[in-house]
Amino acid sequence: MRSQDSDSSTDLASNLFRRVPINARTVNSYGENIESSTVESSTSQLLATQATSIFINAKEEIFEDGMESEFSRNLSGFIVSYGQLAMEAVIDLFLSNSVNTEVASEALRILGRLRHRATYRERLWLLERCLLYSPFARVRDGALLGLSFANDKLAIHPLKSAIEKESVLELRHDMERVLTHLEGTNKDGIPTKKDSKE
Amino acid sequence: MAYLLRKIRKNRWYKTEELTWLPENELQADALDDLRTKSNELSVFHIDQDTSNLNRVVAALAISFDDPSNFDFALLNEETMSEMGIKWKRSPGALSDKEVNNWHSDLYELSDSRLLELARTIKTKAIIERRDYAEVLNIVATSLGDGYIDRSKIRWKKRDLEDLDALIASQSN
Repeated sequence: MRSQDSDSSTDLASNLFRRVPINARTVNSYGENIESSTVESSTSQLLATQATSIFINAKEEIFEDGMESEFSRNLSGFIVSYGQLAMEAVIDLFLSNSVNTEVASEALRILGRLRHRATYRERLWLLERCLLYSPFARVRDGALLGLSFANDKLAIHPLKSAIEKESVLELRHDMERVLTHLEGTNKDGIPTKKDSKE
Repeated sequence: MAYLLRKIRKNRWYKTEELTWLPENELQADALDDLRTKSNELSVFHIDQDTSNLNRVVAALAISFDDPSNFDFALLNEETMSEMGIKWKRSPGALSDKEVNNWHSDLYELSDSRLLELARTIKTKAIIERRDYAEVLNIVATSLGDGYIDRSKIRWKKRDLEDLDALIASQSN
């Protein structure tokens, strides 16, 4: 059993550096033998490495609204495959303030668009935190866009707080427009809490 | 005085206090990502002076993307472009709304200095706006209802089309 764990970790590590696409099947084959906290810790470290790799590789991409990117596919696949552990790795990256602002902004959009119920609370938490506390306007804007995709009335309160403290006039106006939509979501007819469907 | 529309990403054009290194009257270099040329040309759409065709252009562009999203754009009046010596030529667009394709042009013979001048003029003189995600869905729904676009031409994923259908259904109730 031990050697299987070890093999799994080794395979996972080599996959990380070979940039083999990850998916649900991959995580199942690695996950079924994880038994000890040591292995879990090791898995967390590997996921942190994977998250870092995804974000670093994204620096060379040019993002466009509405268009998928290698980054959007990698980040979404990472979170869908590894769930809350993946979100912990992503959150750690954000909290370390080591993420490029353009990439961070794009990541927040992606996290808001993603439909994955198991990580919904973590994603919403990160969006709200970045909206309220990021020192970078572009990151706050990415968080705003992510929240507009999530279209959840839970975001109304933090959004109001963010509007009060926002110093960039045009960004504040965009926040107010999203707030208007969230407060009138039923009138818009746009479905709320998309994650609850899946 | 009509406008030329260029799709941008609005937050690349911010000039904010955290950018302490950025000289006065200069732009973040990232703004130039929104002005990537091909064969020294740049795609734009003609918008009427009263912007009556703006939403139709937004809808046609929005359904050509992978996902429904916010739509950020800059509107620069044609007169300003002419004064800068920037030329444009009509060229058919490749969108599913044929009328919108007739409103497409390419700015051409763009040199590096002209492109930089264009970027700075966009920052100082253009109208920079956003239609957020919910607004874009509404605009697309309206354009569908008006018969300007064909639902079968929308590139979005099934789940996004379901959201659009739900919106249209709620509007018709």
